[in-house]
Amino acid sequence: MKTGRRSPHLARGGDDGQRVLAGVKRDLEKGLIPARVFGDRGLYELELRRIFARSWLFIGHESELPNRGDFAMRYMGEDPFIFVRDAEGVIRVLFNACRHRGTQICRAEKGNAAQFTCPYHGWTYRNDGRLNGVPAKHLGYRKLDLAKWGLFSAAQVASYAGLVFATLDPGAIPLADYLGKYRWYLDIQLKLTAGGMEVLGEPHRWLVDANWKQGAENFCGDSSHTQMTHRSALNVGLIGASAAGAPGAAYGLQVNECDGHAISIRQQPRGQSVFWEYPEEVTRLFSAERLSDAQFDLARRAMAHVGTVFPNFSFLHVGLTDSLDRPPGAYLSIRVWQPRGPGRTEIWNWILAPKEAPLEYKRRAYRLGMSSFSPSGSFEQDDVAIWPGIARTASSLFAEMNDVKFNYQMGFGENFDVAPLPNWPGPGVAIPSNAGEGGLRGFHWTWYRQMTAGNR
Amino acid sequence: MTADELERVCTRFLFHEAELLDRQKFGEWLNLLSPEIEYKVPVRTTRNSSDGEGFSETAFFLNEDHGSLKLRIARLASEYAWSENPPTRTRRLVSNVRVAESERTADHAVTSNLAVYCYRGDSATPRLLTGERQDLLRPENGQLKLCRRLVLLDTTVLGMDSLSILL
Repeated sequence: MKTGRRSPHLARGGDDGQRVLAGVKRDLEKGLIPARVFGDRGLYELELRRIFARSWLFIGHESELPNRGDFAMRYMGEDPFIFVRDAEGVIRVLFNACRHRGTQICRAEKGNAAQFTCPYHGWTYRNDGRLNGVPAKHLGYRKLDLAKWGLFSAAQVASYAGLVFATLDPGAIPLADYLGKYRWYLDIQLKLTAGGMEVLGEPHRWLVDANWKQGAENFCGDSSHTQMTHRSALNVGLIGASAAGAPGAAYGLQVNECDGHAISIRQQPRGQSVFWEYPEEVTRLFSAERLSDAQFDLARRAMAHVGTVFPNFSFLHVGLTDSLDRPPGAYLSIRVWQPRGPGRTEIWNWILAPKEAPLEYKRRAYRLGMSSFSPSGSFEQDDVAIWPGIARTASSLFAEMNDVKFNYQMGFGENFDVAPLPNWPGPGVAIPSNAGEGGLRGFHWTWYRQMTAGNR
Repeated sequence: MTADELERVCTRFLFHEAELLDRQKFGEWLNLLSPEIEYKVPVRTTRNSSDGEGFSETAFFLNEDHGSLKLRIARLASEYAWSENPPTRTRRLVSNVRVAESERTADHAVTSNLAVYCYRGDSATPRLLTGERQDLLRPENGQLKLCRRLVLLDTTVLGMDSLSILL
């Protein structure tokens, strides 16, 4: 029985973020990741500052705020914000705290408001964040300049194809540059119709006792988990075997080195028309107007597209069924793996369909998404049954004492001899195999670079 | 049937149903359902009081018919259904059963409270889900069948890894 050697820093105890970080590069170069990356509290506190306070984070979809005044409660990292469309139609992301003495001013998860009034002393803000009034101004606030006391806003807010992101870093590069070359793949999911994709209801929100990076890395291209984790779903026949895929070169590929983001693709050979199995009543709405021929070709051949935008926004575009007496259909799921501590994630999940699709199809798309990827999802249930076990390992004293490394060597170095596709039409590097964890290694490299990018 | 007898009959149905689910007898449970079953658990969001109770018309944790429930149960039979292997140990407490009288229809509108304790693995702390169920029970060939269920949960954020159980 391997018990490992006694670690010299055992006496120091946990919460040793910097020390964990120092060893990561050497490990990644060997295709290894220290277990504590998924469980160390000190490292987590550094992540909140170096990843979540600096990156562009997904807040919500434009279609969730159809009317002026519509708002929803959202988070950046663990911090509360108000996602609102103001009276002029501008989408804002406002820190959910009264400028007076810090009360949470928006206490509903969703609604419509022309203004927000603090329940404590009545400071009142317009829905664009400007301070409108304070109580007894002429008696107690004679010199208060209201213009200086509006609600704080996220440093930058920007939208791409309906996806609203925000960042707390005023110096962050623009969203378009942050998404970079990866926009080519986002466009395929989001720009097949003039109206784009539309959210079909409030997001699912649920708590999983696992580190946020489990979901984020998995959606970067963990192609080889499908056959085992999701065997129960595959065995009942609710998804085509090709869409689910097995490791090998046949129809699957992973795209990495794409400005820090990753996507894995299951597709039919050229000449087949699948469009993730949307029915004809929906595919007739698709056009290549907003896409290149190469992008449209990928959409046409698509069975499943799964990806992560660093750090914690993922999507899944897939076709399957929720009942054996119904044909398959497709939907787009987008999700946020929201950090709630080193060993806890709140998953937010939205289900979307093309805006112009018939209402009856949208109801179907919703049920398909809910049946497979949601808290009750036939696939999702098994992912979240497994990830908490990793959190226990990652936060264990044993892992700390023995500097336990996780093996991310599938498809790495000598383990692999599949060359990237030479004529891949899209950006990034496309590897025509599902027998690899390159997307996950790429995720952790991006993570490492951000965690060590200077001290600010 | 008097109102008391009707309430007793409906209550027995709900107790029997809860027992089947707690004992993982999903095939028998499926037989309690009408083929026209509509089974919904809407997503809920916290709303200001003037905006109502916050139950979604479009977002659901479960929105099932007979076919989709059959497929869920088929998956649960697999040893590879990791979310339920080892199985969650549930204890459903059904109470506050109220039956609405109706002369227009033979169906019985039954409201009940549900509290489900869920124990998983070696955790000594169960998760608890509570809510109100609004059911329609239909007499068919001398038996009652569940033909409609709406579960109104008390929580908005689900405090469990997954909803791998039925409510």
